[in-house]
Amino acid sequence: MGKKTKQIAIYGKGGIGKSTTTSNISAALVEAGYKVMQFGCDPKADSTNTLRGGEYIPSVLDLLRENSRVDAHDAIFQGFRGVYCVEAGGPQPGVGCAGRGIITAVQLLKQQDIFEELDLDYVIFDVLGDVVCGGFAVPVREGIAEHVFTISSADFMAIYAANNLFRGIQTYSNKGGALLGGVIANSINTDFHREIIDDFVEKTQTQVVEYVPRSLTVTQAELQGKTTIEAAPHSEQAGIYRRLAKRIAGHTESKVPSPLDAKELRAWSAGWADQLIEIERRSERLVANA
Amino acid sequence: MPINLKTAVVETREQRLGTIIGWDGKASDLSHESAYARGGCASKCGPKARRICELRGPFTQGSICSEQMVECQAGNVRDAVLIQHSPIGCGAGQVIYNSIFRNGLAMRGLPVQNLHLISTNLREKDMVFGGIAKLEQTIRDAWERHHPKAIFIGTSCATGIIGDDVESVATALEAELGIPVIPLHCEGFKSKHWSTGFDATQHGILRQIVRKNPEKKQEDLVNVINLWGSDVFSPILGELGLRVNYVVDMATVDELAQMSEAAATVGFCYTLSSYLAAGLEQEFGVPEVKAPMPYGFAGTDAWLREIARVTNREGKAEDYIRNEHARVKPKLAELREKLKGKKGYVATGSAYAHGLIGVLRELGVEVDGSLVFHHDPVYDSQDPREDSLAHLIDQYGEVDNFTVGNRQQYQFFALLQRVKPDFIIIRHNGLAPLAARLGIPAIPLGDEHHAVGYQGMLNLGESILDVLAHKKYHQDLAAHTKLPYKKWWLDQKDPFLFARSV
Amino acid sequence: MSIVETKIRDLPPASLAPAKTNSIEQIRYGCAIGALQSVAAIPRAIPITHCGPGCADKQFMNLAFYNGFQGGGYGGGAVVPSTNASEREVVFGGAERLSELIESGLKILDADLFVVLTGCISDLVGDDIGAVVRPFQERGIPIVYAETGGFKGNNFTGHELVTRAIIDQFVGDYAGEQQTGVVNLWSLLPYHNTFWRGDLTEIKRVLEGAGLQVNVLFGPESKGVSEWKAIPTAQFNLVVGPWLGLSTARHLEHKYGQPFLHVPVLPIGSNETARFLREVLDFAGITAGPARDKAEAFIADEEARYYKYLEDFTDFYAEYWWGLPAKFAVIGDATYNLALTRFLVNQLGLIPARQIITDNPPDEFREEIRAQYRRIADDVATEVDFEEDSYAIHQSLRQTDFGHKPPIIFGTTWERDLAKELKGVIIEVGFPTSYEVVLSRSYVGYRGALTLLEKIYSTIVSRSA
Ligand SMILES: Nc1ncnc2c1ncn2[C@@H]1O[C@H](COP(=O)(O)OP(=O)(O)O)[C@@H](O)[C@H]1O
Ligand code: SF4
Ligand SMILES: [Mg+2]
Repeated sequence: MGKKTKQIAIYGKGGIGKSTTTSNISAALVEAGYKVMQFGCDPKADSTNTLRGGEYIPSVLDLLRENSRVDAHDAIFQGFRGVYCVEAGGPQPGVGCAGRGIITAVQLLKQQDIFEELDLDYVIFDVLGDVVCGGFAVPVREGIAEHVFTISSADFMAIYAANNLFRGIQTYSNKGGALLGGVIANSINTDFHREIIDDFVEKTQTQVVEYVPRSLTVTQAELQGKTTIEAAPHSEQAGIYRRLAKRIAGHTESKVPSPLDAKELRAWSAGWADQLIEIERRSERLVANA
Repeated sequence: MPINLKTAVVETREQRLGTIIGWDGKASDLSHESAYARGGCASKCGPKARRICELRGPFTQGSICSEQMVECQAGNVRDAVLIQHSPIGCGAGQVIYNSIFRNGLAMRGLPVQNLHLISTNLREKDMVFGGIAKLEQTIRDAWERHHPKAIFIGTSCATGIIGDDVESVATALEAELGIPVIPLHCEGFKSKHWSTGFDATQHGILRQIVRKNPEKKQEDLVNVINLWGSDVFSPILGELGLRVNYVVDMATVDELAQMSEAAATVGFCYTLSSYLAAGLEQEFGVPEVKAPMPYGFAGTDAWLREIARVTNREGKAEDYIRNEHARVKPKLAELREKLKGKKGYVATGSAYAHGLIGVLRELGVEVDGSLVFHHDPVYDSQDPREDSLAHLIDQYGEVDNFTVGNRQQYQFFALLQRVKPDFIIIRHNGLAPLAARLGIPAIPLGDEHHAVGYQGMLNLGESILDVLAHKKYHQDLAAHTKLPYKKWWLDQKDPFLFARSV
Repeated sequence: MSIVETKIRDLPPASLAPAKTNSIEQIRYGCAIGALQSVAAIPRAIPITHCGPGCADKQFMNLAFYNGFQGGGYGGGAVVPSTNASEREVVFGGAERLSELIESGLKILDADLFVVLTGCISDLVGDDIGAVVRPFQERGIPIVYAETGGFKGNNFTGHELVTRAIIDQFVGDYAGEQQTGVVNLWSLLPYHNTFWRGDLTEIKRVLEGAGLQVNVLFGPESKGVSEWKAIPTAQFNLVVGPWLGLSTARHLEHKYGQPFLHVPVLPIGSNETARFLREVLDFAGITAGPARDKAEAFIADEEARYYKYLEDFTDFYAEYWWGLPAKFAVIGDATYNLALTRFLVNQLGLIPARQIITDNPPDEFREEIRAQYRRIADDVATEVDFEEDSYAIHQSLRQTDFGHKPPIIFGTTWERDLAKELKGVIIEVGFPTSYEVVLSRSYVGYRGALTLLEKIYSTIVSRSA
């Protein structure tokens, strides 16, 4: 006891690769000997699947639905090399309040002093979406995560989501909330993708922590219900995840980002869209000429 | 870890203690199922809480919420302001708690004033865009208007759902204004029982008001955790050379701050005092007096002796106890004579009911039924000397029809039919009208100290005689009113007909 | 030239006046779900609430109990079913819970009409209440629903939402005849107005005395749901008060082609009541003939009795040695505020020093309300303020010039201490009235006006020694 648990939140739009990346970071950190908990904050409750052989675990909110009092221990499961897995869970789409669900789940663990009891080195929150309501902002608020990373591809919708998150961070930054560690660029396979992301982080005064390529190894691992670290420990992709994990673990100085406002963002994406069309045209011409 | 002051949000009673709000059976069975009797249980129970099977049914009537208890505690601190961060409806409680506050102040001989509660008055727009800016404005208004010694912020269902970040604003303004700005998390939906609201207030006070490293100790000061009751504790504790520090209601912020300097903490009801007393002992080393509550001879004797022991005043206590026994016993005998053959029913908060039933039995009044609004299988200290239910059963015997229910009027009819009492003792509105319509008079215990101590037995006896005279009114009324329940339901013997055990 | 000179008030300099903020200290209304007491005001109707565990109790205890100690009524107070929504209903939605509550409630409760009201929780998480209630309606159960989350507005708003829900979902369509001489009365807000029971009784009494048949709809004189079912058969709707009920009347005009008469001033005293009755009679088309004669006879009879008492009162009013107040303030909802101000100015010749309306009338009505005060008497004009925050209200009263005599303040419990501070007299006439026990007392019409005089001057006289 006595050490301070480092708490990190990873945000990004649905399907962008949050859970995949987070799980690989968690796996890499346990592999390196740390005590790690991955905390899924997505009503889908599938954040930790690849840490547990593809298996779903009962969520905190599932337990809350069934019982009048919940022992947080009942919601904690161990996976790959002892990593602790927790899913907040949430309602069916279209009913209830998922944001409140996250508040509830996080508070429950905090009140029962779980992070201290398990003597954790890292808690990594895998959080859905851009900041949609107060509930989803919980992990960036004071006293929970200190550092936030956002996952984005070069896709505009993903960048919109990242920019929105930056705005959330800005709101909470002067009230002791979490600051931005940087962007994890996912599915970056071309220089062009890289240029878009680089430009975005420059405009918003942040940084890219790692470029993660889209890779079949990831897909194959996922099919076995495993992280890349577990399924293909010697692959190049595993190496990239390890490097990412190390950077995140070693990361200390986070900053307040400068998100683009709606107009700037539109102008910015329009600029890139023009270039994109230009490139496509050129490649079409190439195909036609061939 | 018994009490966790690290997080701003208090742990609910059901989480901490395993509190239930639905149960029906013999008092001894409930006592047996509770933690004190059963001791630790295997895996399912937390560090303290015990799981008692609870009755839950589809039909429920409006209860009371934690936010209301925050209003009536934090909102009644004389030189503080309570901000209700909520739509205007939660603020409606200002009316009742103002009336109670004013009458309480008058009864205690303190200057009468209106309470200082301010609603942030959130509207639809705020539900979408967040209410934080309004909260900040209202904190500033509170400061400019009243220059309070502390500002409490009570949350509400609405702000809990939209997830307003109350802590951050509170922290920033606390630094700016230089007074404690204390978020109290009391969203109504968070707990099934309102007593979590007591804990929420006390949690905030322990975290942000109680003096951290008191320079001096006041070895003759005793914290008395109460509500608005009349000042019966000063004369009693005065006999031991002790001074009373009443908290939380009608106290000043400084009186709250000095709790850490006191020699001990006592209460008149563990439901109310459990959290604060345990917290003061755990965090500040102020011993909680762990004894039966001060009702009836045995309870009051033991309570006084324990206070005397904790504050090193044993000799004085024995004199006082002897004199009081001698003074009270003949009068009690007269009352017993007058109350012979009468049957009473107690419908109040949990620990409080345990005490009152004891007093009724001292008065020779038969009690074979009681409704308590919730049941805590254990209190925060976990000390068996605080097991008020066991004390009742050991000293005064079984209560055959012991029911736990959070003020469900529809069940009350059947409960009363079971035992057919001559009168009922009630605290909390809602049940007395039904009893009245059955021709049964009720004693509404506004002054919660009425039955405390030796004199309390006499007080309660007199009140019963007064209220029995009301019977004429109630019987007349019974002949002329109709209840809003179907005959089929009123014919049912089991008030928990629709419920199942969970 | 006016007899009474109403001074243009010395308003505090702008720099001293606190800027208006969102804060409301010492509330003067509940929230929309407070309309559960409007349901309870309908004989044999029971509200069903889908909200947090405190909402129903809070609205009832404060609107109906610590306000004249009126009691909850047949289906209000502690009877009110509630889902007592918990974390579970918040996170997962509460529709199923509501459904089981209604289903079981139908077995237990004996009522002619159920009205489901929702609170903040349900309205925020977006439970589909229509989908829960409709199957019950399809089974022929008399049940309707209104979404009354607290952030939607105050209990005045809630009252109109509930009224509308009952009309649309329970009363339903109607294409038949309308009956001459029958009128639906829309006036005081039940329970919130401390004297509503007595007042509605008196209004009904005088209208019936004048030969009309009245669907009073709320309170002890209402026949319950049969009266509601009869709404479309009435000749017209009568809205008494500056604004509450107008949107209902407009809706009924649209729905049933029923005309409505809006009388902004709730009548207190003989002159106002006679004027009121004649206006209603004219609107009803009873302008001449035996029916009108009968009505006029009733008015004359009431008037005679009223003035007999007033004559006797004159001995006191003219001769009381120890001084009577001259200036007054009224702090209250628009309906009572306007009614009292008119009575005090016109009947008693008191001088209005400060009038503050506290029920937050919708903006569209405010200009017309202001105009009412500007012609409060033929020769007296005054200004009215709209304010709901008691801190601002009290500051404004402190800065009011009440002249050389102690003022008389018609207000609420919140003004008790302030009245003392100003060395004046307080008459509690509105929510919250925590220091009066009110049963059938009325302050309106012929009889109520006399009671009001008794109340005002007993309070003053009892302070003499
Ligand atoms: N770098 C990558 N290479 C290949 N597939 C990826 C990569 N990142 C994510 N995916 C795939 O994308 C899909 C969505 O990823 P997931 O982590 O579940 O997204 P999120 O948690 O953001 O909703 C998964 O099928 C995952 O395997
Ligand atoms: S239950 Fe919630 S909304 Fe209702 S009064 Fe309590 S805090 Fe306010
Ligand atoms: Mg995911």
